[in-house]
Amino acid sequence: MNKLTREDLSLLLSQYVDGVLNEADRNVVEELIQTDKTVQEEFNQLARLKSLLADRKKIEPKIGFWTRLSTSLAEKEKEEDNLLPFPRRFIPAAALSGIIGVVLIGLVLFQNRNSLIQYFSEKSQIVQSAYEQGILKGSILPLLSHIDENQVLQFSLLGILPLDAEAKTTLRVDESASSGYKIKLGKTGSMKSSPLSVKDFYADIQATPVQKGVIDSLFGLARKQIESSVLVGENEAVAIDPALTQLNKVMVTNIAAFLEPPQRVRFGRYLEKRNAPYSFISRKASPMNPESIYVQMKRVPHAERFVVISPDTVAYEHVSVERIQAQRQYPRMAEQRKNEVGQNLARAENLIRHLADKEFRGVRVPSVQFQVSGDANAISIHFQPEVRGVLWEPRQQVVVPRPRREHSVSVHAPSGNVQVEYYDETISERDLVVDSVMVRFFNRPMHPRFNFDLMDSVLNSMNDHFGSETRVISFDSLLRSFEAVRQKMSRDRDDKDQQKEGIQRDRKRYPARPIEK
Amino acid sequence: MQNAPTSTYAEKSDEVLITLFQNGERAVYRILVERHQERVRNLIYSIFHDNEVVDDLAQEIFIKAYEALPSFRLDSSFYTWLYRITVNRSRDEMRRRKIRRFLSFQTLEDEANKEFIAKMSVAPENRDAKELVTVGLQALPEKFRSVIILKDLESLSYEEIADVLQCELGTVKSRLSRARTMLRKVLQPLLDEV
Repeated sequence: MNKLTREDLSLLLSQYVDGVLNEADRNVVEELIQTDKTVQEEFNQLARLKSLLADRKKIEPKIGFWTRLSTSLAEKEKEEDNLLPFPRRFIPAAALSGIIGVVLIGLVLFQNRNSLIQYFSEKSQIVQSAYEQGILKGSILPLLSHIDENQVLQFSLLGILPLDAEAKTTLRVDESASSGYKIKLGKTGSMKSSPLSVKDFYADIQATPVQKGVIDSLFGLARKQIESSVLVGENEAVAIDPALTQLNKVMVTNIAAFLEPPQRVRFGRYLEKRNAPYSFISRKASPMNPESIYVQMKRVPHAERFVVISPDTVAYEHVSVERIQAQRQYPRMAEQRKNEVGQNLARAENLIRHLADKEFRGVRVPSVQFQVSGDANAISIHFQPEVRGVLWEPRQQVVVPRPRREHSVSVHAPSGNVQVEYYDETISERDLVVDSVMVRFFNRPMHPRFNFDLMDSVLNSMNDHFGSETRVISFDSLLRSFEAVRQKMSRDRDDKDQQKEGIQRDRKRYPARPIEK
Repeated sequence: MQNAPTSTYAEKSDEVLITLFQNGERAVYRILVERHQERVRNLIYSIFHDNEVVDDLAQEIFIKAYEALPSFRLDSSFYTWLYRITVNRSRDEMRRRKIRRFLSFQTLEDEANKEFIAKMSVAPENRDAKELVTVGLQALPEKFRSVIILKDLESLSYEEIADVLQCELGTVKSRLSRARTMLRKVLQPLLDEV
């Protein structure tokens, strides 16, 4: 006992209450407890203390502990995706290293800028090429590979190309001095006029055999241009050459350029009779050498960039026309070509449907001034007036767009908008998108004269009244202006009579007679 | 986190579950948590005697364990390893609180002492012995408090305590003895009554 200090004794007692002493030490401690009251007291207190501690207050189990923990773990794992690859304390060092690295890279790039520019230029072309192939996947085929000479004539002179037997689906090109050019592909309205024929055309203008040969050649060039201007890819993407907007004007100008003055008058009448989009401003210019016109038109290089419209995107991209022309070299069976035409048309219609489903209201490509929009019937590409297919611009400006060729009237009904778009040549009730509210309005008893059957004539009157501008008018204002429209129509009729007198004067000056060879 | 397949793995030992976890069966962590969460929570409560801190700290500890478990080498038992994390994290928390209290011109011990004195001044028949012991523990310095909690409250062996506290066995013995002596002095009035 004498050998044990107070601390040693406490240490032994502590271990004794825990039952971890060896037998020798345990005997020593037990002897002390029995002989020394102080030690005994200390032991008792330690034992009580241990007992109290073991019987400590416990906290209640936590319900939902795992739920909360698992949420935290899930959030933690999510955060780890954004964690830095090094401890946070290294952020300043990493930032400094980054700045030094950027400066060094900048110096290296600056020193090798010429070679790098060349490298990236080459790479850019590769990427561009890959992008083009991505948009127009698979084989790219001309949508209009089946057109005959009559259809070429139709498009060259009227800017309308029927794509099916009923002429419900068409390719339509229009020019308006105020709003630029427009290409429309799809169901743009059935044609009222009968299809043109080359034979009748030659007869009407009284073309000489030489002129026929030149015009045939020009139509041949036009056909190639039409074929290579509207392409369709396997993934339902459509590529359209913006220069197609110029073809109509170029063809009318070029044909007129080598005709004799009397023939031009007949040609003018021919266009006027069919409500063609262009009319002459000069019928008296000297005829040009037809060969030079043909050579000039043939030399026009193909466009490199097309408006590419896919179900997902709109782009203005390079498309290799040579590849398409190479495909054209293979002689195909008539049946095979017919099938291709059907397939390509179906792809174009699918694209139109896709765009309509997506409520494709329009996409502007900032670098080029054009806008693509689509509805349930057609795709429209609207080019700003300043965008012109420079390659196709005719040298002689002998024609101008006929005014008020296309008209669009939007009628605002109380429960929604009703848009009616129609053309001089093609207007039918099918074009009129009239909702039930509109129909109800037109059938309402207080205005019995404005029933649905009369709508066509009302809108035609509105067309004359508003000209080529698109107006949004309320139904009530439509009713109010109806009387004014009728008065305007009366005045227009007088103007037309005066125009007829002018035409008759021309006829007297240039009577219709065969041209001497 | 997926729900743990408790029916399949509930009977497995910690070592088996850890191996499964390390092999990609992260869902078994739920079983480990449910198996040890109460001990961890009670250990935290014993250290802090503060209900508010228990769940937040326990969450942090189990998150830390989850992150470190892939590198756990099974050199020690899972629960001693978990206790080590708990004690270390609790020390950090106490240090943080100490700084906070220091900044507010108080100390943890002062708080504990005041609370303890207040409770001891209550008439003996109204005193709750368990609560007094718990409060008395708060009056001990952290290194003595931890060892006595691990031994007398958590019933760990000396070796396990040495493993948790990362110290020698002799240190555990001497620290435990000193802790008991200190606590015995603090709780003298209560021990005399019992």
